[in-house]
Amino acid sequence: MLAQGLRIDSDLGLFLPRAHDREAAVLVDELRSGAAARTLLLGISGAPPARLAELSRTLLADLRGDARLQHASNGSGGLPRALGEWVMENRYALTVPGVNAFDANGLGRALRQRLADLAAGSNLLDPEQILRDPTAASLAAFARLAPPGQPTKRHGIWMSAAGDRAMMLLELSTDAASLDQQALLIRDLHALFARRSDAGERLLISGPIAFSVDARRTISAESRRLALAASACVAVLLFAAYRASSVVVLATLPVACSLLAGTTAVSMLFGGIHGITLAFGITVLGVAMDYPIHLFSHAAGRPQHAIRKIWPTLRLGLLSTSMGYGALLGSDFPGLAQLGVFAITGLAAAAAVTRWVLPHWLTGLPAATRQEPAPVRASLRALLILVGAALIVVAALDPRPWLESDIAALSPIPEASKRVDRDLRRDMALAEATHLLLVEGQDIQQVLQRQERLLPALAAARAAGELAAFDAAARILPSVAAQRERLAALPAAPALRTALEQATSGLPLRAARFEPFVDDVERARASAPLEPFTARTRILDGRLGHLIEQRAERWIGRVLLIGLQQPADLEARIRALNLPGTDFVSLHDTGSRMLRAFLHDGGIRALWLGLAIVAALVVAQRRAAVPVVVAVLAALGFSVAVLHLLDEALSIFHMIALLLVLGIGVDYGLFRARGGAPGERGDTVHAVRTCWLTTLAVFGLLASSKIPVLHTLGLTVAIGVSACYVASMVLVHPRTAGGVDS
Amino acid sequence: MRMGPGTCRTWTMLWALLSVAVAPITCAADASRWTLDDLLVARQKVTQEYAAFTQERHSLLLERPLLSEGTLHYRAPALLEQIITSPFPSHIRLDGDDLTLERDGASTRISLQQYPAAARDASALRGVLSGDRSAVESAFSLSFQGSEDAWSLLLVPSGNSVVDDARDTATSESRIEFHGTGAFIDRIEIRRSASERSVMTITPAAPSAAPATGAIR
Repeated sequence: MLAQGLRIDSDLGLFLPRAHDREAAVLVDELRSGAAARTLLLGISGAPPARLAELSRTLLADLRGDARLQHASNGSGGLPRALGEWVMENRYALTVPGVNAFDANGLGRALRQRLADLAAGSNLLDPEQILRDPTAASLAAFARLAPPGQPTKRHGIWMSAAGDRAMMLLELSTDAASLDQQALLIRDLHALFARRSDAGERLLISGPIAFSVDARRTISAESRRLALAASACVAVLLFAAYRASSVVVLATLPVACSLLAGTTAVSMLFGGIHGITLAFGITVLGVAMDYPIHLFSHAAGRPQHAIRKIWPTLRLGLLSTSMGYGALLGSDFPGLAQLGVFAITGLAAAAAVTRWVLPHWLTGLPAATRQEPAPVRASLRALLILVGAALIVVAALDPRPWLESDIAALSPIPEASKRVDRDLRRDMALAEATHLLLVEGQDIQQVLQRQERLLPALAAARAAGELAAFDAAARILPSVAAQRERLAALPAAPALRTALEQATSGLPLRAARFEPFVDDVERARASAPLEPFTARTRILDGRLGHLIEQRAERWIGRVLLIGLQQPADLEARIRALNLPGTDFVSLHDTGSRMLRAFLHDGGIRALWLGLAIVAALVVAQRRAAVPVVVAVLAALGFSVAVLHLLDEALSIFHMIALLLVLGIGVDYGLFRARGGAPGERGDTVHAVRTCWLTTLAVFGLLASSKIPVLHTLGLTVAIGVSACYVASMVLVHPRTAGGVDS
Repeated sequence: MRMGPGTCRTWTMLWALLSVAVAPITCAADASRWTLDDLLVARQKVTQEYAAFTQERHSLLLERPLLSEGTLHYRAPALLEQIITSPFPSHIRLDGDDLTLERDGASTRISLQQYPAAARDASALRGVLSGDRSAVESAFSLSFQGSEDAWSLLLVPSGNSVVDDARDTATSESRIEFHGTGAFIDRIEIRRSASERSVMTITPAAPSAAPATGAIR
């Protein structure tokens, strides 16, 4: 693998479409970093709950002090002291006090509650805290800060509801940013677990980082496996076709040059090459192989002459295939644009080497007289056409959906990994937002103020059971305006002391003891409001960073809606509020819309390309182009029908594969239509057949890959080229010397 | 020496007398050896209990001890209900880790899982009530003394489950002490520090609507 020295990215985001509007950008963001992108989810299973708890605690203790981790939790930790103190300091700015909370009646009620709790032993504030905070405002503040969706706890740590898995959450520090370091960390985690656990106990790790690390390992393993297997198959096929080992050796030259040219071009243009692109790129070799094969089949002792004869057809084939890949250049998927560049440069290099280098070295090739095979019997031809047409009709009538509508299906993550992630997330009860409210404003405060106007409607929905939970920046940190209002409403010290005297009468409390409370209120009255992302609110940065951010010149706040039952109802109520800058987004719908738009876009692109190819052919070959075009279209239709019947919903990757098939099909068709001397026609058929077999071998191997995208590509092309081969044999007839054979 | 039939009968009678005399002595000795395990086993047999209580709460906050009274209801293994009749009528229900507080017509639900220190104490209380040793030993070390008629069980935090929680009010002087007779617990003393403690005195009671099953000796 010439991958050494190349910078190989494994950012799976390269295979997510570029977002053109805000909603799409939001979706891509969510897909990229649902929970924080630096989070790892761990699940320990295979033992009774008590033992799992023990393992969880041991592991956590072991991980303490690991510089690579910013935060590690298994539910055993309570509220971090720093956060507890911060909330206590700022409680009056953060919470909405009850009506008349600070007058004699309100204080009396609050004090009675505290006493009742004390008597019942259910007091959550200790006496020192009560003297500072008799109205328990800190408890209300804690409640607002808690993120929605808390996993269940048993034995004091997070566990799945069934008690069969202990959960841990790790957040990596920004220092551990490189994929290598992350891979090392994951390996260390497994090693640590192996040391601490007994047989039968398992550790599962999931999260975006785990996916990337896994993906890189899988991709490199797959690429290696495919490269080896493909090389072996192709070598065998070539030897069988030409009975000369020199051919096998020589065939590697254009292929190697193709690979070199492709990776160099991508590196120069994009600064690096994505691992998956490289894996895709290997498949280009299946096509690049075609050029030397055509040469070998026609060479028969006079390679220079042969190449000059077939060059026009070869060139036209190269052009059409390149146009097929050219469709990818303007693609919304950055990874696919890389693929387009890789393919075009690679194929051009292979063709060039075949044209100008190979013939000089091609000696010792046994001259083979190849009979042109008898034309396909009319009855067989009719049968094939009938079967093909019938299949297409059956597929057309099949009610299953044709197009892939779930954007998650584009993910290059293998199904097994997805399943692990789903299970861990479910056990962790990680609240996934299905809908979002996007609130936009010209500055952060405007966003917060707008969100504050939404909060009552959301709280009402939650109370009514229509909404499981919601999370919004304004809930955590109120707007400056709201804070000012609350702080200004706090009573001055003399009034507060008087109220306390009245409130404590009849109770076993002494008003004078509550000076800490009076001091705190006085201090709150005099303090400036808290602003997000400043030094005073550093402790909230993590929570807020995911909920509100700057984009271009505006600020956008996300309100996450979790477990929303009737989206239409809530949407209507929100609209009725007439809040400017507010958008209701359904993540699933947006995803589908993006996909449809992209497919639509891709479809249009493909159509133009198809027309361009047809035009090119017509210009080059005039009437001879017609059967070629018919054959290619028939093959494409057949392939799509078969894919549909195989329960493959068409996605963008199918489209790409079909573009490749189009190029290859045109290649086969052109060569088949080429005609020439009778002996030559035998060579041509031999060439096309060998091309087909080698392409089939390479893409057939790809179809066996665990990576969904590679599997799709392999399957589609394997079916496609076979259909093209049959179609070109059946529907296209070689041109005779005088005119067109119909 | 040849034993005649008369001698045999005498020996038999002597043996019988001796065994009868010895039996109460051994029984009495057994009766005085009542261990923690005996208590736990006895508690495990208790399925429901109704009791009345009075409580004295001492606190730095208070000018004078706060006296309250009411009733208690326990149902094995994890349900504990406290109905406080005075001075602040409340109904508190602890089911596992779910705490429901009803007072002044308002109901609040809290999951003690969010408050590790309180969860720890609740777990210990449940453990003793239901005779579940492991639930208690996970966070406390136990010392038991006394006899069946009057025993005491002291729980001191063992520092095992170290919880770094801003809301953890436990100190080095924290302890929970149970006193009882047989399987019936008649006094619970919870102490956070020298100034923060509560003493609850419990007497058996009949439930208002259901027959008392009471404690089993």
